[in-house]
Amino acid sequence: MVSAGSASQAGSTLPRRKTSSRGKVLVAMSGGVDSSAAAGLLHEQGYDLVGVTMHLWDAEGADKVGRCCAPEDREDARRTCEYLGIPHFVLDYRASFRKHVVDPFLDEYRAGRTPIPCVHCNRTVKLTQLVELADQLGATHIATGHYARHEVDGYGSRLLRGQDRTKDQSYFLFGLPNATLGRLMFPLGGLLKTEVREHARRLGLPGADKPESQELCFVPDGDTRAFAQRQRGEGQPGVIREASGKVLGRHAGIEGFTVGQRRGLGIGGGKTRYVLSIVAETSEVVVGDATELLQEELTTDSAHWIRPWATVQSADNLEDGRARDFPAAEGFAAEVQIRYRHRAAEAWVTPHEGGFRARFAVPQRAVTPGQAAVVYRGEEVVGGGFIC
Amino acid sequence: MIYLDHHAATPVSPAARRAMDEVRDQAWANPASVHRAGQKARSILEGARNQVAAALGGAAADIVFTAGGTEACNLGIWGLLPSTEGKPRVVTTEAEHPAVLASAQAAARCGAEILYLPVTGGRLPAPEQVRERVNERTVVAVQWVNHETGTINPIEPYAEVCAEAGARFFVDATQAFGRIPVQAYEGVHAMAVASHKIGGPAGAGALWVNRTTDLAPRLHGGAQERGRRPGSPDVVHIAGFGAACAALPERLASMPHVARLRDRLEAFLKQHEAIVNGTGKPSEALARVASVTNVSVRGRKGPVLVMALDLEGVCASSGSACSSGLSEPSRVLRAMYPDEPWRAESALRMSLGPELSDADIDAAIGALERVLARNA
Repeated sequence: MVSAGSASQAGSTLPRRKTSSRGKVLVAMSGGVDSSAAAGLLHEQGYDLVGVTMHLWDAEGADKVGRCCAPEDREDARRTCEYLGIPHFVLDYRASFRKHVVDPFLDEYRAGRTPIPCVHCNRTVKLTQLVELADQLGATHIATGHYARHEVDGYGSRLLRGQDRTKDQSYFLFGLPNATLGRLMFPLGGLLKTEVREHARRLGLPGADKPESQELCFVPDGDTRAFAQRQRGEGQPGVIREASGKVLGRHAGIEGFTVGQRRGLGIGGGKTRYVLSIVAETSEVVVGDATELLQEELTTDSAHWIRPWATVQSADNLEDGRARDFPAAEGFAAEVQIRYRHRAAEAWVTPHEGGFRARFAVPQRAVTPGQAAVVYRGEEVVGGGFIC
Repeated sequence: MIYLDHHAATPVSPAARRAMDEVRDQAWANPASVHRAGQKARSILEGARNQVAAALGGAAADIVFTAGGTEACNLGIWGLLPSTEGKPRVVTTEAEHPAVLASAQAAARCGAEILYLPVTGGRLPAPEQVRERVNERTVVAVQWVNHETGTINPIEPYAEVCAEAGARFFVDATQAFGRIPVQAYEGVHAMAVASHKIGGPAGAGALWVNRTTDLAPRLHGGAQERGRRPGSPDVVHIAGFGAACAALPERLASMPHVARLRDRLEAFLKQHEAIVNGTGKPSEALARVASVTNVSVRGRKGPVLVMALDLEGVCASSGSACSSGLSEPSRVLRAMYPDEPWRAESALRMSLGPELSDADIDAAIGALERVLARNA
């Protein structure tokens, strides 16, 4: 098995191709510096690469230039592959992306939740489709520019945080089916972003100095509300009120509001207020002060476990050298991360059919329905689910 | 590399290459210039015009050079639209090349009525059924040979019907030229051909125009091409086009060889659950050019097959090459098989030319064997 990304040194301990019959690696190329560097490093290590760019979305208006999903990005991916002397193909996954990512994203906002489309995209569109494509093209593995690590032990695949904590993307990958995860290589997992750029420059890659894209690829300006309006028309207007019922203002639609939001509420001065919850049925946005944002507990649905939770538990309980089979109700200690930019907090995790409950040692701010709660044990992703 | 995408572009033939190399140093001048440099360029241009005219069985004055097949199709359709009062009608099919289909649709946006003839299984309606749909305000725009399936359309009877009805008839002969004998039948008003489908370079094409037909220019400019296509012509590529036309008899003579290779490839594909497209109903076998087999392999994705074959060193296509690298399911096959959408999604087009040998086909079959052995 390939356990790419387990390298702690700058790409130096990735397994090398021993013979030419080792097989092909499909490398997902967005046109950005990360995926280009991933391709460059694997190429340097002698892998037989096929570059693939997924055409997921057509950028609108001014965003057509210099952003992800723009024709320019596909051209950058092509140039990088040409530079490396590897084949490059563009595949049209726009219909699938709209169906499985963009439409559910808009539905979620309309239902008063804050969706996390990258998780769905990785799971349902991007990586799953790439596995299918790899099979058809005779490739054994799929490499991406994610900042995450993948290792294999006796139980199967392990998904670990990227070495660069500021870039770590393991949070977005928890939902991958194990069969998919097992075929992934993350050449940047052991690197810092600064090292990645250095490698890109050292290798002379065309996009080495390209700026980063931070926002969602299909909402490059970050204005979710305007995007929802363009896609679905005007939202349902409603009130902004306190939990007591006192109305503080009005809004033009709940899309784009998120729990914990402070700015852009349009309710004027006075004390700082935060969004506490969104009631889709009545189109109400409930606000309050910071202390009201704290929550001790969350529940999730659609949970996915990379490691059978009992085997995680077993790490602490290897009295007889065998994994103990715990009843689900008992649960286990872990750290739970509730947003991409959230420091995972200690919690007691109790799995149940289809989901889990997490009880935090210290109450956490802005537990937001729709976001992923990802369960870590140290560096390792055990699994995760979507906050109800 | 085994090149099986001759319907997208043919390799430039040695004769065309030689011709372009020979004139490259002389053909740069403007053929409209009075001086000797211009005269030299003019002489090369007119020599090529004679070659193209001869290949089409017409006169040099009937040939309007364009920058390729798409421009020739645009000029043919728009140039023939009646300019007098009353709503013009364009009769075409949804199996046309985008150069024709989009031209017809653009005319419809400008007020013309558009009428699509059915193309079920690749078969056009009988000419007598077309008769009642056309009149003197109609432009009929139909391809001679379908670019994806190679199905040959009944141009001569259609020309007769158009002549009877006083309709104007534009023929897109782009994929017929160099594969079957092409000539302007009585009743054809304009006919488009392209250089890069017959061993010439891309960037040159021509519209044959009946000399008694008024043709309105699409571009506005100088008096080149008798005012029908302004702009300084690309003499070097046109010279290559001319040389390719001069070699057309040999190309046509090689078609039985090409057909035999195609049949070998097709026989293999049929053994591997592929269904051949564009042959009409199961009971019939519509005539096809020798140069192409277009099959659908249920459960496969055409664009992925093309990529997999490319990695095995075989160049093929999943539809027409004109969809900018994107894998839109073939519009042609959707039109031919509206009840079987899977055909369009799983289509593989392999198009052949005279350069290929049995050894090439052996290699292509080997590659197909490896690719189709993978789980769908």
